[in-house]
Amino acid sequence: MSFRARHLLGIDHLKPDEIVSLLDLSEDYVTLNRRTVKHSDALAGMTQINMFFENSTRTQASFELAGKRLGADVMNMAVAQSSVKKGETLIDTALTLNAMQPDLLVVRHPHSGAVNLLAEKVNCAVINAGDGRHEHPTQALLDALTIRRAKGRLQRLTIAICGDIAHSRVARSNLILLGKMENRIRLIGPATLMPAGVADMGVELFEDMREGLKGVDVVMMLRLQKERMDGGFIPSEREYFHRFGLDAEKLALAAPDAIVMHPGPMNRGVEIDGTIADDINRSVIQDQVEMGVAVRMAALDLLARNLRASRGRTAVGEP
Amino acid sequence: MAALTKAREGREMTEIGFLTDLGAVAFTDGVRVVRDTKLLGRCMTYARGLDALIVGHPQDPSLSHGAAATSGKFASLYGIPAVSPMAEVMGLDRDLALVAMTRGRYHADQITVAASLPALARARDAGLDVTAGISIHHLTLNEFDVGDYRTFFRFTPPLRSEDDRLSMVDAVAQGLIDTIASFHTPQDEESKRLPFEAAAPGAVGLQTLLPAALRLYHQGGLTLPQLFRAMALNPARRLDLSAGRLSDGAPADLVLFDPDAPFVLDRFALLSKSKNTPFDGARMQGRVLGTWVAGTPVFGDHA
Repeated sequence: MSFRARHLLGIDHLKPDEIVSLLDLSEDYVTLNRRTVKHSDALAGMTQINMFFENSTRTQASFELAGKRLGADVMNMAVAQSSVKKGETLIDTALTLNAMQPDLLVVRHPHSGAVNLLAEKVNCAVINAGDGRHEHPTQALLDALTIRRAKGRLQRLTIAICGDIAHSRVARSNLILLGKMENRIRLIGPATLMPAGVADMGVELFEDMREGLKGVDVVMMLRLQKERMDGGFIPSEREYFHRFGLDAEKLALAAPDAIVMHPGPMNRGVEIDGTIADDINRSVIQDQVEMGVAVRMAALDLLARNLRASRGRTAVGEP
Repeated sequence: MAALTKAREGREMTEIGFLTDLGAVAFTDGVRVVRDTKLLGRCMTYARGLDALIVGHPQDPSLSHGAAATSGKFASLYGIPAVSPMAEVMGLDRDLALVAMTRGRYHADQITVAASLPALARARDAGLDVTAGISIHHLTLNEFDVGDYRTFFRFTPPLRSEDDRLSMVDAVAQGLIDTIASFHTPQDEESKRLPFEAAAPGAVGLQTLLPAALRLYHQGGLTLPQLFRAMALNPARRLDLSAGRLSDGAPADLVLFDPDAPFVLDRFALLSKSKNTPFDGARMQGRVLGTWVAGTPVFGDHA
């Protein structure tokens, strides 16, 4: 295995061969997860704490299941905004948890860079489960695994990422990962939802969704993150759906075998038509959820291996 | 300097007359922009009668609300809420239009982007009583220095592109920007031990002002006389202080320094109680050997 990192904070720090080895190990866990007895001892005896400073059901459940299937003792801490005033006690919370000797810490936080900050203060391995509008590495990895399984490869594909790019950490991590693997990336959305400087990132920009979808192999839809908006980015949901919602007519412009992805949870009728989302011939949205557990198992497993290796090197004199 | 509006809330002007009598030389709400244009205009008009200087923070407050970086590729990749450099231009345009309207005396506290310079030059050419300053940090650092969310590099306004930084050095050399200031902003450790966008902005700058400014001299951007004008003569003149020059009757406020002496800055060695400097660990050249205030040595071997 070539994956050597201590933490998984973002895709930006990963090399292509590290990504490939993570995905390869994930495949083993896909197989395991389809058995009746879905259990491995990769994390036996280890403690995993899921610390979510931002509400999440799906990602937290996915990490919890991943840890439990690997035999870890998993604890969920809901540190929602109401109880912890923004980042104020972030480091204190981290130090408190650190004193409980966890081995793996899964963290989601509403501020960009918060997970990096926390990782500097603890002795365990940290996985970024989403920080502000910065990165969400396991989402990009599960998307990559889904694409690789559906398309048979993860290179030389034309991939459209559509919607609220500006507020999306999913888009950022995917942009970095898919770029590293040498794919052509198109970003589609209204200019108000495009981040500044995006034209310098080696991508093609489209404000006309029909134009942008022509011939693409993968259509990756993003959730319209209403809760993140200051207000006034788009005139109305119905105009948004008309221009940027994925429906059968727009999808017909993509390659005939194009797949449709969405990180969930979906706003049906806002960014995606319900019938497209449910079309088992096109939509791989449920596969993404399945791959999510496998990818998180692989990430936890690899970080635990690296953690054991580093402790083995430093724990001189222990029995 | 005194507050321009009561409690710096931007609602009512302070007692500019009384404060001037008590020795206030300028009026400002700091980095809080007076949003109410009519009120700022009245402040300028009222202050004009007293020859009082108003120091503004040129920035469009709604555009820059919540921003912790300058918009661009770096801020987008790091996911930091950002503001366009144009917010400064808009703020400056508004303030300069008010100066034209009221004929007040005005100083823009920090001009940090090249796009602001044409408006500033036009105001000067039109004979308006306008000066402008910049912080030493915006002259010596750029947006990439933030790196991996280093909160000691969070400023208001945020650090700019390298192109803008170079334009600002040039503007100081040409005299379009009159003053360089430390913008000394102490923050406790806890206020900086937060995620970048939640951390308090600003840095301590008094003790590093001269060595940081000498970077510009050693790099060839500014000469020593240019630095002297921007850091001593111009600020004193603008505030009607007799300091900042050597002349009969002027106070002997002096500094003796070795422009070449090298050292590595250790933030914990700073005399300020707060240690939030962006220059921690930086190699610097230029050391203050002694300081005199009105002829009395207060720092160095002679003190």
